Amino acid sequence: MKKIIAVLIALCVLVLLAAGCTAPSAEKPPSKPEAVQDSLGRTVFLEKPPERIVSLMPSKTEKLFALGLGDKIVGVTNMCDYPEELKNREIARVGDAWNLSVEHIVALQPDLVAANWLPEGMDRQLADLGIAVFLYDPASVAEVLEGISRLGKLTGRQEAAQQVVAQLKGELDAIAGRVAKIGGAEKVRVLYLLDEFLWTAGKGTLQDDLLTLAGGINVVESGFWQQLNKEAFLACNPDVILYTFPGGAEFLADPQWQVLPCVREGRIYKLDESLASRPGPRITQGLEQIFSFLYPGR
Amino acid sequence: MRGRRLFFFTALLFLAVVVLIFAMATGAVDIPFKTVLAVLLNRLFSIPAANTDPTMEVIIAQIRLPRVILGFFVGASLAVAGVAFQGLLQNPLADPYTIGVSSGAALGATASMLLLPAAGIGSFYAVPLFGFAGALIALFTVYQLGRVGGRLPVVTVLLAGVVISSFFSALISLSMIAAGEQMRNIFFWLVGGLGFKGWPYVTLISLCFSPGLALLLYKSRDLNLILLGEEEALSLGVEVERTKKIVLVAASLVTAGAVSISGMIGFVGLIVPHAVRILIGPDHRFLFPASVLGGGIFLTITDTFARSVLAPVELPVGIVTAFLGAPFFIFLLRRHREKYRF
Amino acid sequence: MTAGDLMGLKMIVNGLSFSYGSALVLEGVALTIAEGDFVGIIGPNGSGKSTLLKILAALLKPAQGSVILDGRELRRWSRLDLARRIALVAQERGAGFNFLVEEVVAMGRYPYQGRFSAMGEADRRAVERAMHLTGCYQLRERELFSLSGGERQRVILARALAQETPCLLLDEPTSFLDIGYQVELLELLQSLNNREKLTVVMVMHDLNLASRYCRKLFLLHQGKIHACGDPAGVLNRENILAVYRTEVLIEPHPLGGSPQVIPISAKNLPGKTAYSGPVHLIGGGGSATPVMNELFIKGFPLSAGVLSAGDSDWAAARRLGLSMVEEAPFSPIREDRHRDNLGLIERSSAVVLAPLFVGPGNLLNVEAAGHALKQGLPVFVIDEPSIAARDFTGGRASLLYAELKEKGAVFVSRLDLLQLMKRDNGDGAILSHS
Repeated sequence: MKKIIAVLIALCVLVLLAAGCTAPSAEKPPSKPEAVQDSLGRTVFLEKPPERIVSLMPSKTEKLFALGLGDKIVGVTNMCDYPEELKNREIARVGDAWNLSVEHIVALQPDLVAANWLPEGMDRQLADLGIAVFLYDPASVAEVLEGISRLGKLTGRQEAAQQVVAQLKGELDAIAGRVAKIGGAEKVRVLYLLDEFLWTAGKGTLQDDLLTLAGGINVVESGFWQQLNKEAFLACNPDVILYTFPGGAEFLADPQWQVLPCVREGRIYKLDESLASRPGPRITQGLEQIFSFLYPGR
Repeated sequence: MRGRRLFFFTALLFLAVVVLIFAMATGAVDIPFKTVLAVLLNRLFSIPAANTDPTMEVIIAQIRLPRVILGFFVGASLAVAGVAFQGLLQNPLADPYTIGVSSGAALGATASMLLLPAAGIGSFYAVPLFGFAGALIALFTVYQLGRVGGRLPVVTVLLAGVVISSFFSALISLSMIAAGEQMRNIFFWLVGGLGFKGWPYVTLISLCFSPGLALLLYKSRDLNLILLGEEEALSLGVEVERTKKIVLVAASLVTAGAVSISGMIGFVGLIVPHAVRILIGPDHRFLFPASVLGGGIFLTITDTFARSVLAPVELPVGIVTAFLGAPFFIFLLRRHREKYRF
Repeated sequence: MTAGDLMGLKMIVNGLSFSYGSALVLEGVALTIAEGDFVGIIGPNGSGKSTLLKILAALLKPAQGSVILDGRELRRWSRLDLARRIALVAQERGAGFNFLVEEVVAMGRYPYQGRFSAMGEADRRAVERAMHLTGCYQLRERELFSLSGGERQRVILARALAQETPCLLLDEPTSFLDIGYQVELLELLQSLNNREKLTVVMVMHDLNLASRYCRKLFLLHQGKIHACGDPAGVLNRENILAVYRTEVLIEPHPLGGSPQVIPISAKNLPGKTAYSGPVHLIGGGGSATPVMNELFIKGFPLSAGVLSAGDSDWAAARRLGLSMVEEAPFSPIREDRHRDNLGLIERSSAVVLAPLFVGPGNLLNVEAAGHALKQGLPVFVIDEPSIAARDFTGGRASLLYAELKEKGAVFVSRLDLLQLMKRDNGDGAILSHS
């Protein structure tokens, strides 16, 4: 019964989101672009709204679609898998995060390259060729929203950005309302496991922010990405383990972890990586998913 | 010997031109060879190119050309440094890698990325500068550790080099763990590769390479004399100790330039000097310039191979240098082992 | 510019001291080297001779004292100026790379060339001349590593000669060379020294080669100059014994007469024998030389008489430094010499009568043996060939021999003598059995 409710909620959200994504695209003509700061502190400015955009992150691709710029995208990465429309369109793939082809990017003649970060030297190389580069790497949900609004200003889609941000804020408030009903004593201690080498998300990461917003307590208290040793992993004894990597269930089924109550009692959940660790406009769905795993039925 | 030298010099020069053009014609985006040639001729000799696609022109002139030239410079730097270290330490196994200078430069460069994370011009030049400092520290330490009674025996120098290399590599790993957000940058830089490096990096490496090579050429005759015995070199009027210092510092500078741009690429500094020595003899006045060509050609070939063999995925060029370099070296050594003396 | 064009070279070393760490290697060394000298620095291992050469070559700086070259302190010379005055053939070799012979020799022109300038005409001439002089010209296209040790040493010498300095320093240039190359190298240096007034200063291990070729020797001992001067003055038994702790024979070289040092098995010298005093040898005409040498080597102190000056027994005794009584050549033994001989016999503890030819002139020597018997000394008579074949006195000598035998002299072969003397405990016990 609870599951059905969760699925229903998720469906509602999806429908709402789909509406939010597609609604502004055709209607509003773009206004004038504004200068914005990127996460390296540089000012980025476009003379006119971009016509040829290359997105080097799945989250950026989603954001651009959400701002109604889907038809301006001329290149994406191999990892960009959403929205579905990407599959139907002939669109250039320029590599992935670890293997980007500058030649391919330049060959697409972009007027804007959007990414979270770029390998050492590449942003300078693109900038030297007169290609505007917007780098924004959100480490919290608030920064995801900020990124959307900056991207909106940069591309002259201020209005669309405001709508998306407003909608996401609404959804965040809704979840915050539900989290508020959870008493301090009920709060769940969570471990966010990234891979079978026990790399985990610590403070200062987007994943940590999501756990906090979903009313959980991250058991990893040190900063950024942390690799635990087995002893520390057992000692932290979380109430719930969330993981994103394939094969996580098999990994946690190993007898050596059975001493952990959460493993024994099955409070281990696989998150949809494209929702819960992708700092795009579907981040609230990720948050929803996390909340549902931490506090089923609440 | 003179005729032989002239022949191999001409051959190397010719090969360098061919390899550079071939490298220019290879890349992620397919560009007809004719276009590549037209753009190159246009850029180099201002021969007007008939209506080429401006985008292709940008790719050739702004992306491929600097990368290919950078590769050439990096290879040349490592080879020249290898020649200098092998000669001065009179040690056939010395190269920037084995004697720890590479890892010193790497540690210095890592430190600069940690300490000066801002992406300003200052930090751009800080990487090789810190790299140079790191290379000198490594060199000094190896020199001190490896010295036995005023001499530098092959074995102790190599041992000291191995120790310093591992120690510095450990420090690099440690700083990567401590780096947090900067880790990604350091990682990308460490695995090396010449992608994403435009003209500013060409300027940067030539700032290290040119003075370094000039100093080495300036001291090449003195180096020859030192090789045949330090005492006699002194009595011939060579300032032996000063020459040694200048050569070591110049080789470290050249190494730092290469390492701070391309990360750690092994093997080039070890085998290219031997290969060139087999071909043109031990005279450093010719060995240095020939190593510039030899190292440049070798790394240009390996880098072209690295970015085309599994395209669009690029292999780390260091893997390819070992993969192509080892058999080539064995081939040379087997053909010449009767006559080759270090 | 050749060596001859330069003003006379003079090197004055004064009060020179040097130490490696706390070990004093040289102490108060003073010497002068003048143009045209051919100097050898000799001495045992660790005596400081290589260090001295390195200081002369300005490879090491003296702790105390001064080295003055042509009126200027060595350390005030620039390296390049010095390189035009002094060339060095060192002992230490670099790992070396496979240079061609011609390239190596051309390196000798370093002090005359600009950094990037090619070889000039003068350079080329100097290089070719050096290669011709040392006989490396036909090796010029060969690689250094394909040469034999001797050939390689010649190439290094050619390089030093291409340097065209008035002075050449060499650190043990003949070690690792076989005797053929040794002589060849030294003769080359000698001829350069003669023809071009090239000053040669070399550290030598081999005393005989040093003696043969050097006109002046410095013998170092524990960091000090023990002796210096011409080879005849420096290479004597006492000096060698003091510095090398070795008993040697000094023989003139058969050709040229330079003193040659012949080492002796030094174990029993000066050793103890069964006899309290010296063994006196009576001989002449070379008859005593074999037994003299054998007894000397076994450590018996010896005396001899009466020997004719200039005959080979006389020469052997002189060589061994024996006390002896001598007589002018071809003259009969005079009475006073005979008395001197009897005096030596009385101071000895045994007498050996060698198988000498006996004529009227030296019959007194046989009588001297009889005198020894009267003194109660053991007398050994070597009678092979027997006296009958050696008697040129009309039987008088044979009668004397018979008398000696009768009175207790021991007649032995030379080969048995040594065994017998070693077994004799000095109280004549052997004699009583015979």
